[in-house]
Amino acid sequence: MRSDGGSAAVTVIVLLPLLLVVTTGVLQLGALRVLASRVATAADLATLAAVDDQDEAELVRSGGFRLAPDATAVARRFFALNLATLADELATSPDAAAADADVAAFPNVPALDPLTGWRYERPTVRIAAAVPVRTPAFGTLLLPRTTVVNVRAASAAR
Amino acid sequence: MLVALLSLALFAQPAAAWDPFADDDFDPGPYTPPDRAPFVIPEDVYLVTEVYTGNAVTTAGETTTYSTTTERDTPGTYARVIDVVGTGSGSAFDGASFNGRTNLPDGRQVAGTYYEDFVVTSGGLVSVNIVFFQDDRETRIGASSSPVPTPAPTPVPQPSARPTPVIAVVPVAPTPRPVATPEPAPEPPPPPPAPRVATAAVALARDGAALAQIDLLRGRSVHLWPRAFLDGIPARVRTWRLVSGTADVVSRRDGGAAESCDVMWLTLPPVGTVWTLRFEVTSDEIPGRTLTATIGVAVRSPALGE
Repeated sequence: MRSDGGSAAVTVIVLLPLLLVVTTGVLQLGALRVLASRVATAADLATLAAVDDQDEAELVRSGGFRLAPDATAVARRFFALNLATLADELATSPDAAAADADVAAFPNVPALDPLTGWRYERPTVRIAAAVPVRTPAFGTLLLPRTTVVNVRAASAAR
Repeated sequence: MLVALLSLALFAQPAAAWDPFADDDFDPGPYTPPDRAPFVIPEDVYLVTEVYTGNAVTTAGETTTYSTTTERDTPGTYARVIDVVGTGSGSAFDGASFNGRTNLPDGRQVAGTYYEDFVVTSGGLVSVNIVFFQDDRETRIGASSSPVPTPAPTPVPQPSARPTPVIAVVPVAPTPRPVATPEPAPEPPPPPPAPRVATAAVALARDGAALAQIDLLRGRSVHLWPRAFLDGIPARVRTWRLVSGTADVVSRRDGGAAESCDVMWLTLPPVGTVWTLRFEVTSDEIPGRTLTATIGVAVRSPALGE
């Protein structure tokens, strides 16, 4: 009776690297997806913070809602603060990522966003950012160690 | 029988009636037209005994009287009443009279009588003009003015055999009498002062603009300043009181000119809901009155774009 122990060993030796590659790739992709979601959340919260203020002079003058004059600066600042919690996983500094972000305010509505094609019916603050994040597992697979996460967020007072 | 019939046929001649005037040589003479019927002045046409000289507007106390001035004269012309109009009522002869028809300060036309004037020619009465005799009065009561209902003036015939109402005449001669030149009417009395309008509103600053509605972010405190206005000019507020409407945070429900009502909403209303706050405002410049000021508040909150 012949033994198939050698055959199993060969199979394991041959398939184990492939299994490791697949497992590593899946884990990194999952981590990247979670990271991308957190970056998107950071952008969402930054736009919400920027919209959660209104122009005092306009309120007194007309009673209407108008974005605060520093809405874009507030959005950028809060984006950086929110990214700071992910600093270890970013391939750049939070401030640099926020500085590179495209932050725009649309105080006059209706407005069409030329970058995203979105149409705004209320005064809106929008962030469009490309945030590089670390993906070391991909490096072990001979893939880029840095992956760029693109996020877009917009908020308005409703 | 046959002979008899032939005889009748041969000797028959037409019968001729007897003419009693056949031998008379009658001459009717030359044709003379009948005498003209004497011209009779119609019953509704009167001989003019007074002529129009102008319009008069006199004011006594609160009453303004619109009348017509005349002078005694008998130019030999005739006139008749063609329309009697009341205050503000139109006439088919409006614009046809040479002296026009005056308007009351409120724009309505005065009451009066339209007369048509005639001269007698060989062809009868010939119309020469139309004149309006105004007869109205207006009494102002307080700030509003309204003409006292005056019955439409009725021409009163003279008790003589031939009535002679007061009417105007424009002679047809090339040198017309200056009877059709109305005197310049006196200046109408100045309109009474307009009633003063007192209003109240709410502003977001002590001297801020009055606002009907504001868009306010949830959790943001805002200072509401009830304000009073007299003829659109700010009046100093003596007291104010929040009488209806509420917010999650209200600093005070009444106050004076130096205090504002600070409010804040922490909860979001249903979509489309507008909170309404109503204040009662008093002012020393508007004594005895309590003004109402309202403001709508739409509470908003940031939200992500869809």
